[in-house]
Amino acid sequence: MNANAAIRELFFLHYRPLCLYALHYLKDADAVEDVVQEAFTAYWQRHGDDAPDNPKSYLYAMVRNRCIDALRRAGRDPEQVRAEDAAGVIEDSQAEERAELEARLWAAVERLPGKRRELLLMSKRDGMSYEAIAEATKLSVNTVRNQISRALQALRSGLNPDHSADLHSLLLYF
Amino acid sequence: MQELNEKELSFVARFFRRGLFDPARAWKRFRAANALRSGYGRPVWGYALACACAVALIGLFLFTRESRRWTTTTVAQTVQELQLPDGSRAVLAPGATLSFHRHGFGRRDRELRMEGTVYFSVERNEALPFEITAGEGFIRVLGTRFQVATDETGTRVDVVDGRVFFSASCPETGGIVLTRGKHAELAAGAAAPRFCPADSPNPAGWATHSYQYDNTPLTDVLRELGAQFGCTLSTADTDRRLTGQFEGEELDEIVFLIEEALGIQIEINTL
Repeated sequence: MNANAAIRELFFLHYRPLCLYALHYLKDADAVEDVVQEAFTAYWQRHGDDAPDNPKSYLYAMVRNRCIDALRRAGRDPEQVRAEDAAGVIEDSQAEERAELEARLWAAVERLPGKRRELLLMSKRDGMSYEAIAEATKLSVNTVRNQISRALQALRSGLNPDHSADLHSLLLYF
Repeated sequence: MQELNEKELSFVARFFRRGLFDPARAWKRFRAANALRSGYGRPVWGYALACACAVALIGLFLFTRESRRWTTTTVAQTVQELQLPDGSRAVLAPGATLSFHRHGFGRRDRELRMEGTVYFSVERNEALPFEITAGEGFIRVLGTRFQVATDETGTRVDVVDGRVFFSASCPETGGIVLTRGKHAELAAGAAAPRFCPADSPNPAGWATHSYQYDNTPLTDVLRELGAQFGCTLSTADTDRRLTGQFEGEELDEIVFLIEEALGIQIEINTL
């Protein structure tokens, strides 16, 4: 694989998880995208043709350092931000796993049909009850419940692609 | 099986915005900032050369257009709606080109030339027929709604409403008249068009934003919507059939309505 193809693969594999990882520190989507871009640029400039042994951990470390720098520049305590967010300090490897899980969830939310996604976000982001969502959207409470239940089901399938593939094969046979 | 964790889901929901953290978009930014070769081996100067050629072609095109006094609209990436001087409406699919006389269209004539796929909603004017040259095909109408698509394989016409005359542009034999719901095709090099079944139930759905199905297999419905919206749609309920009219500009809206109508779940996978 040439250097261009290698960085492309790395980018597509880790860009979104790295953004979610940085989001836990910065809580600012635009700043996060800048930080992850900077990290990839620095990685490319240093290791264009000669990748380190564990490029994934290397990238996470670069993003983490840049987040900490950004927080220090903003006069905030990075340790405090991290502790608040994780409800207790977690290991780096756990934080990476969490970011990957969140990236898969993000992709699954993005794949939901628009109306269903809107109902899910009203519930999970805005904390609205099914009754309040039904009133706001002029749908029945039953429809809201069904739609959110299907959205959650789709998210579970998104987290378990192998399982959904197995289920699909089974459905083909029955 | 990995269970949904409420904490991670809340975090994602809190910050979710459609299109945010999109790796493909971000990769373009990264590639531009670092002057990387695009794709796998095609150098950046290839794009520069392509741009230079495009500029030269556009210049030549503009010169030709000026000399013939034709107004031309070319659509590069997105669907574009065009109000013609006679009050008719044209919706151009990505990549389509439409030309008409800059002065006199709607007064002296209603002649157009086109390439690609264009949907027309034509204002009725019995004194001035609306005439289109598309590839090797010629189309004449008085007032109606229809779609014309042309490529290297030939020219196809789908009528949404009214009557449309369709022939070869240099006809050796007479043409045919299509009515509502009919589809005809003039294969490249053929002497005359012939009626044939349409590829899908609503070939102009992308422009009319209206999809009508009559006991249509759900797999056909999903294939049509996927083709028109540039994605793939899947469901576990492949044996179901769909009847009804569904209107909406966004795929999400239409999919939601179909899911509600049939009580099923449809997965949208972007390509």
